[in-house]
Amino acid sequence: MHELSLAESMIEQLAEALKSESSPVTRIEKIDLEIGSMSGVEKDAFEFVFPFAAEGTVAEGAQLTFREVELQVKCMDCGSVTSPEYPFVSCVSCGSSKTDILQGKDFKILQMEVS
Amino acid sequence: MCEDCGCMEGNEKAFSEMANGDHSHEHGHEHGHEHGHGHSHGHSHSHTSTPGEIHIHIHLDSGMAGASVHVHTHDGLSGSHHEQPHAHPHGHAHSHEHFHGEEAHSHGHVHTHDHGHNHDFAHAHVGDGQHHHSADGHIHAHAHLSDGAHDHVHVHPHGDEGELPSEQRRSRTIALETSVLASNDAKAKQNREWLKARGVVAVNLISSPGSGKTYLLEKTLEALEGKIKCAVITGDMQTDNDARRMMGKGARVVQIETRSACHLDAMQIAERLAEVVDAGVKLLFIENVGNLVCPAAFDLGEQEKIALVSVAEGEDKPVKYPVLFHGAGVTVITKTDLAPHLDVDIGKYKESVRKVQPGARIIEVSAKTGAGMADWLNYLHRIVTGL
Repeated sequence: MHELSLAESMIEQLAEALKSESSPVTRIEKIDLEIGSMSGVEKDAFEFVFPFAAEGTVAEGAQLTFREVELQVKCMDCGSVTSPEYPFVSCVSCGSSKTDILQGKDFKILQMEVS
Repeated sequence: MCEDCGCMEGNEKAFSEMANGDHSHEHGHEHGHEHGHGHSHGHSHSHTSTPGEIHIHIHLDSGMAGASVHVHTHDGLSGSHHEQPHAHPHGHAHSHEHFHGEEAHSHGHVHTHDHGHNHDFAHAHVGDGQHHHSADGHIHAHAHLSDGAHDHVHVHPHGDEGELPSEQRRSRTIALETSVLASNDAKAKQNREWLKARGVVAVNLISSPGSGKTYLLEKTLEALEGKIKCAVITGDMQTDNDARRMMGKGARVVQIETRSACHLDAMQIAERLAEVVDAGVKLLFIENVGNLVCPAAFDLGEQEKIALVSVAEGEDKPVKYPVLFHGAGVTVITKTDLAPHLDVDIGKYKESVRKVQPGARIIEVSAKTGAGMADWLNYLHRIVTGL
């Protein structure tokens, strides 16, 4: 359950980002996140632990939205960009195992809505 | 002026500035007004009004490049006032107003238009978050301030992007585009630089509990004593049993008890580095908390991430826990001496690893019998010497 650590880390980062805001922020209303299928983060677990991490912070009560990003690889042999069925990383077009992951590994904070 | 809904006369000027396109409001009641432009709110909302309550929807041009303001206000007879300004960073303006008659009613309306911008994200509102309006005097507001960093949110093929004057903001959006793990990653980078500056290679050993990490390390430290100076940071939720087992083999050993945490993070490593890495250390083993999931997400500043899986765990474990086995450049298959007793095929373990990490180096080892230890030690020697 590293999602709790991630939620705490996220809130710390958001609070840090708010320090540079010119007008005061009393609360974070919404946090938009991007979650890759290979990020190792369980969306449900993150949603479950977030309220515990957010309690008593500026993010308490914030709504979370998730943009789910599927795995996408570029083949080093045939050049195709395909989306293998997670968790496999081989090229869907030619079957080559020499691929670079283009997306699907990240867990990112896109933006937050504050008031 | 709109006969049905009471749109203000001033609208005509605003409408004449509109780009082409349609704008219709699908209200639950008929009041039939249209204006000649399009805009889209990626939401619909409904409100319930009391007799005589006034709902005003005003869309103002802020006068700033590319920014306009849309304000919805709702005034109840009781003196309640609802206001819902929101801004879209594109350059058009319009206003319309409509008055409700004596009859109590509710209506939902949806704005649609076709001039090419989308709002993909739900809007949050101060209030109940559901975008309902009732005569309870609440105010909710939302704003979109584009700084160009969130292209996935709004697509505006027309007009420039701008920011609202602060007095028109009620809530605002701050774009971040950072990894949730950014602070851990920054600390891991510091660790990596600290180690590199001292010529130390760090390896992060990750496996499930009971795969044989500690025993392999005991045998490794014994084999390397006097050849490569090693240090060990070992993480467990409780006890210093592992540290005790590895002491007295020529390496400094530090135990991190993570208590409730299921993984080590870069901050914990940073706190102990100076203590464990003394002069002459070339190889730092970080034995992570036994767990195939969580430790995989945290960069500690290591040079190599090494996954271990024992032959007793099941051939498909690498496919079941792909984040770890994909992220590890090396997978060590441990306890190979048990294979004949367990009816397992080590070849299937390898296939499974290569499905999620085709380029993985796979080392088979039995720390108990010593089979494969030479391969493991050779590998360690190579990463330390850089050969």
